[in-house]
Amino acid sequence: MSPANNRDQIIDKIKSKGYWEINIRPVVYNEQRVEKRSLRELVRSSKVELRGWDYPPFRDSGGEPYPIQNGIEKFIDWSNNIEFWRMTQSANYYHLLAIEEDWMEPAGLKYMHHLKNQKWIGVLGALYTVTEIFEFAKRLASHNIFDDSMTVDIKLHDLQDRKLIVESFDRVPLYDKVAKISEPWGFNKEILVADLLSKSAQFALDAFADLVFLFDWVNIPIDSIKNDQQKFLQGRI
Amino acid sequence: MINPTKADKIISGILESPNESKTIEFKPSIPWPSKIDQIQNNDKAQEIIMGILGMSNIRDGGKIILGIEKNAPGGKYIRKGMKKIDLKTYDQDLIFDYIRNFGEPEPKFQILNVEYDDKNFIVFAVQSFVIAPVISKNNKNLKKVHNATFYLRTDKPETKKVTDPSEMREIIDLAIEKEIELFSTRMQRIFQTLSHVPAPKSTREEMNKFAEELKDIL
Repeated sequence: MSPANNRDQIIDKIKSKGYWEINIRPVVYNEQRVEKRSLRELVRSSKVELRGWDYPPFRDSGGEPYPIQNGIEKFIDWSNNIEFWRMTQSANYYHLLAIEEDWMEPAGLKYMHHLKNQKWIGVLGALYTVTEIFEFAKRLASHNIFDDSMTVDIKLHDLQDRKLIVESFDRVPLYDKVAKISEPWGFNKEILVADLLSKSAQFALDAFADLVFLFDWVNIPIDSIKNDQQKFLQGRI
Repeated sequence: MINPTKADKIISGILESPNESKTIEFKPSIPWPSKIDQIQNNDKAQEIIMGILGMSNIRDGGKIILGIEKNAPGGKYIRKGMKKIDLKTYDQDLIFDYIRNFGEPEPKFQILNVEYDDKNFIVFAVQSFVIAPVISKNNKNLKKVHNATFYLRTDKPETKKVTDPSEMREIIDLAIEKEIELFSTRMQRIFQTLSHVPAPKSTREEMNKFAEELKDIL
């Protein structure tokens, strides 16, 4: 089977449940912005490796990203990490990422059996994902591929009746935080590269606060969330 | 012995499907030498020291987790947990005091006793260097750790002494990048007004061109 067939199957699988859709790109289109032979190194040197799993995944038993007509692609289907991404010569980065909670084996739910067969998303998981997205965007931007400004577009699909859960035993749980919208959550922003380079973590916090608002979580303990984010970025536990 | 803490989301995720990478290294349960002089002939402890020095010099740092073994060469990793007798030999302050002396500047790391699946694991959570990369310092005549050398954790994954110009370049570039980031953050704070300049928006035509590149997968 060709990579394109496998890829389409993975994309169908990702879209069969909840998923993140990420697009990072320049504001101005230039078909030849990045040389083809530089694309792999561009993504490799920008990937974020803060939790034992790369954002975006770069290498696995299936090898490194494979070439397509105008760029490179990679898909992966391992445990609850189901992902597909593409980076083109115009620096148009597109990523589909299954919500990992939707693919957790019952054994992986260990202390959260009550969530079996339910749609949910974890507070820390969501915070880490948006932080990784903006950190990756920042690292791409540091290669001077976007000129002065860039677009970061993030969507989260399949929110209807999804619960927001604190996936930690030593914290105050959240009660009745359920999203009631059928449309995907979206965060679309044109950002100055200089701003992103110096404030990527703040952009991620803004996006996170915007997302959890849909779960009716308004009084977010922002200092505590900020602390979690900083610990994550610094590799502290 | 280090007081146990429950595995957080990140450690649970790593232990759920154990897989080594550039930022994750597994080791079986070993006792920690009670005296610094005993490290001289202890290859396993020296490997952990080199791992900490190597992870200090990569952008995202890393984690060394003790209590995990391979079921066969090239086989799967198994969560065995730390042996009780080994676990008792870990003293946060003592180990921190030993290891920080092997790097200049001192490597930044935490040592934790983490509980997961009714087993205990020792986790060294290593942070990336802040401004200057960490150079090894061996004033205890360790057999495996070289003096005045950069160690690096690679994609292979392995911890190695830097011998290749491209690896040296990677560390220097990272140090420059961190310096620029720090400078840029400071400048941004000074010239707050920059943030009020709105970013230009893509025209409909530009957006269509980007979308055209994704039409086969959308």
